[in-house]
Amino acid sequence: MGDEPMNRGVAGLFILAALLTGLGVQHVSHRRDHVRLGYELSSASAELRRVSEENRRLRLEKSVLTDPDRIERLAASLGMVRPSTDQIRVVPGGRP
Amino acid sequence: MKGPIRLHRWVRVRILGVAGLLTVLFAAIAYRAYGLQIREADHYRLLAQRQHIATVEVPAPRGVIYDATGAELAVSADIDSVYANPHEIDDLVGTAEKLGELCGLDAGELEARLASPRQFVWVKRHVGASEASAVKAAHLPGVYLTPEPRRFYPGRRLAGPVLGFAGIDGRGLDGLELTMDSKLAGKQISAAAVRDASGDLMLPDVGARPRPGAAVTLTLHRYVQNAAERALERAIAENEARAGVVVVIDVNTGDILGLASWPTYDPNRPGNARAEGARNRAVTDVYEIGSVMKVFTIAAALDAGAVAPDTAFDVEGGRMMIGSKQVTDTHHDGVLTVGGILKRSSNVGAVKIARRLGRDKLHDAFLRFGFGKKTGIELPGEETGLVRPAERWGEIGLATHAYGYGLSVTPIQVAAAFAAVANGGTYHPPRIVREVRGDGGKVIYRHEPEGHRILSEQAASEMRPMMASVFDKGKDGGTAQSLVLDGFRAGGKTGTAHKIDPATGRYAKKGLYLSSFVGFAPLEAPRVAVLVVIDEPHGTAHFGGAVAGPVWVEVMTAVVRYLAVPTQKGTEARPSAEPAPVAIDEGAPVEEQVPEALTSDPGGMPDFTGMGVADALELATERGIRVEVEGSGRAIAQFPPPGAAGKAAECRIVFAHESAAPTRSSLEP
Repeated sequence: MGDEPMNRGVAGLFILAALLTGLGVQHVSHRRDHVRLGYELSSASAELRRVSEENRRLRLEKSVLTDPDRIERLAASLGMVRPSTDQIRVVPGGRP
Repeated sequence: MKGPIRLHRWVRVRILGVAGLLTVLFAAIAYRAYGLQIREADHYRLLAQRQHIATVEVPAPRGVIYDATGAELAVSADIDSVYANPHEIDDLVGTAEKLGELCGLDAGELEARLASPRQFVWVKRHVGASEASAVKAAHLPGVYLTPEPRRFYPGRRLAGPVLGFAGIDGRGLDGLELTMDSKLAGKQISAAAVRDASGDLMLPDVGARPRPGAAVTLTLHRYVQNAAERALERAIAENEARAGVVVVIDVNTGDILGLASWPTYDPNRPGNARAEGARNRAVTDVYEIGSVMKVFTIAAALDAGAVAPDTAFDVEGGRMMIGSKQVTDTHHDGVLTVGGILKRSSNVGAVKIARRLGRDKLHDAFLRFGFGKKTGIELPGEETGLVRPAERWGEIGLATHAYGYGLSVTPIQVAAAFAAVANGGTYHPPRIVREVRGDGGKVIYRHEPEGHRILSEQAASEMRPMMASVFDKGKDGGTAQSLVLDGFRAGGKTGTAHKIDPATGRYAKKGLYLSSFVGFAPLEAPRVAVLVVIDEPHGTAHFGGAVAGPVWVEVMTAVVRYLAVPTQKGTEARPSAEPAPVAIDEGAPVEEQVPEALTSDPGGMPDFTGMGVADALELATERGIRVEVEGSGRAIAQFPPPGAAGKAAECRIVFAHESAAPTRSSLEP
């Protein structure tokens, strides 16, 4: 009979310890996720900057490649000539 | 039942001693913890932040400049720059020598720079890819690469003086880069981030975003710009001229479609461009432009009712004395109408028209046309020009103003005023920036200046045939009779002005001319006006029609083609082959002898079968039918079919080469 209060006390302490341990594990787990997401955000931001920069470079390249002067030189080197006025037909609704 | 355990007294003392010791130790730990966590928390928090929190500069790229079609004219992209931390360099001499060799720098000068007590020194900014690779491969301690934004102009010299350029730190220094700098420049931010033990960043402050520079869209079309620059460059070379300007303006909106200036420069390498005379002369330079101003003198006189197009003037054989000064014409005409005065560019006639109009009215008209004040176009360094007060003109002043001397104007002013005459009398202030879009595409600036009437519609419509007569051929033809705009009727005016010789301070009799031509097309429904100014041609020709005129034809031809302006029948310089005459056989019914195209009901759908693309489009255009072209070669099917009842507005025509089999789907309506 005298051991019962002691057993209850031990059990209580055990539950309390388990509870605290669980909370601790959960807290550490959250911290870990927090840090992992931080790294992911960091690398995603870096990737965003990289692809944005790549996009700018590609647009720049496109602009260089479609330069009217370059197109004209290439066309001339392929033997193309400007059409005369009577060879041109304007398509209604067409836009430059 | 056992009794309570009795400890030996000494054991109890020892237990109490240990307990006391532990209590003291825990108290000390608690005290220290209190000190660290509470009492000195702020101090240690600060130290931790210094160690872990890094401040990251998040750059904001400078905005892009687009042409009217969305093609990039100025773009920023990151390229590497080399920097060093002198504190991390042990072998100063060796590092300086190696870096000097790799980056093409003077080793001695570099060594002095690396001897700095600072922790950051630029070695070379904006290095090429091969240089960057070489520096990286050298693994020099304390030497690093970092990306830095640099401005690129993919068209190289295309619109150089218009765009201007940005400096190495990304600030606009000339042209639109300067005037739109506050909008093009983004707002860089400093964001806090946590740096871990290995130096990697985590938990960036994603809430803070830099404000990227706004995108500026111009009214310029790079195709038109290119055509204007090439034609101008050729004319400058052929005529051994000093400088030149071409302005291409949409007469109905004031939009500048092209703005060429010579000398020009490549904004990627501006160097000493300004010192060498490369500037946007369309706005920064003023000229006594000469006979081109007769357009405005005559328009003002018509508007005021002082003259009518057929009012005749005795131009006295092309010579007239005003006091001791003589006004002369190139031609020796006797009597000319107002239209004839413009066509033959008679100075004497212009003086007589101006006298009939009156000094004050001519002065007011010039101001109304926009001379003597800035147009407000978004370009730096715009000059106002000079229109002196009328009371200071005198008799000679009135005369010279009539044919374009005694007042100074900028090419952009002339182009805008001429556009007003061409479009029926409404002045649209010229603009070159269509809109500016900020973050997320939101429009933050749009310049849509209101047009206002400066000339009656009647006066403007009377001006058109007069300006068209400038192209008339023959002995009594106009001053631009050598010019042919293939496929279009146009109106225009030549100008040949004497310049002042800086050595004498007087108008040079020979050798110093300003040749110009301004014109619009098409005549019936004007779309575009082009002004060409060639400064000091030193070739065999100096007349505006001979020097500036060919440039005008070349540019205008390119522009009307680009804008898909339909050609006007009967104006082709090289007319297409006429259809062979149809021989009528008297023995057969007439219906069988007339070509089908002529007998089909104009209200029904014509038969395009067998036609080439060009012929089909021509026929469709004549009938007002919108055509959807599919494939190439000869027409093999059309939807709706030939002869379909009703007036169809659209038709899909399938073309195929004889050898190519059309797909099934293309033959379905």
